[in-house]
Amino acid sequence: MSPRPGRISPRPESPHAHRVSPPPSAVRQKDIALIDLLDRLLDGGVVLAGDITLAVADVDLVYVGLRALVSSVAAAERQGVTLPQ
Amino acid sequence: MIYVYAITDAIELHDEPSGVHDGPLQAIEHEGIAGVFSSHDQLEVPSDPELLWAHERVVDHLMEHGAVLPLRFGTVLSDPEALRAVLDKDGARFALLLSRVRGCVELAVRVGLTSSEPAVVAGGADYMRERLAVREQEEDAADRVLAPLRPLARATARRPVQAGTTTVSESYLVPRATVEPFAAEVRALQAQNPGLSISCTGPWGPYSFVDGGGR
Repeated sequence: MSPRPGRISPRPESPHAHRVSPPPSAVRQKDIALIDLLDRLLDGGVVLAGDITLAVADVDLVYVGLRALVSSVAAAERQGVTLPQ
Repeated sequence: MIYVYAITDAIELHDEPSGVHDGPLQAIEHEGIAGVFSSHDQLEVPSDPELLWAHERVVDHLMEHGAVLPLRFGTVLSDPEALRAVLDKDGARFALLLSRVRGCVELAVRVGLTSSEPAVVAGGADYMRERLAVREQEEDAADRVLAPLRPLARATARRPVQAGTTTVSESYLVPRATVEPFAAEVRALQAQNPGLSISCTGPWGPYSFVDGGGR
């Protein structure tokens, strides 16, 4: 598995690759799945108490960027714009 | 250094995937509860989606074999002994949380809000008040749309609407056997509300249901 920095990946090699979803478009579904992933992994989950390091770098910028993306996709769709695939 | 993925009552690993940076998974057990981790000489966990998916892939795999409490992304401990100490100290709390999520997965539903600007633009304070009112109406509308999903879930967690976004997001803790009926209900809601954009992703690990209460 080679790192692909900066690339928005769909869920690779997942046993649940058939994620339940009524997808309006493949691009959008992929982005929403990534936002849902970020919401859960960065804001949910058990936080251990004690001497631990949260070694996450650069999260905020990427996170904000993706939120803006989803926002703008939704806005474009409201205006009837068809986004390029 | 070790990267920790999850707490689980599935003690033995079977055909497990590799973890972050291709690290092989290991487990340390204490009184029937295991912590699953990978060991690394050096460890950086940037926000690369590849790493996020690697974390979730491990959680996903463990859920095939038992109840799982996913840890927040980026949890790093000094060594396995530190993890054993956590299991020793918090074992009772973990056992309780495991019993709550056993047999269930998390599904995420988003409802795209229809508009975020008030029709009439008045002075500053009026404008802000009006915008807040519009947002509240939209959230109420999303609430009504989502209401039929809640009886299908063992628990529900609402995420706050983030500034600058236009979606209401809610998490549902759903028994595995109910995932398909739940998805069918989401499709029905989308059909009944063609003006809204409704999405459903999952199954996820129960990230939103591991803090002892709803969010």
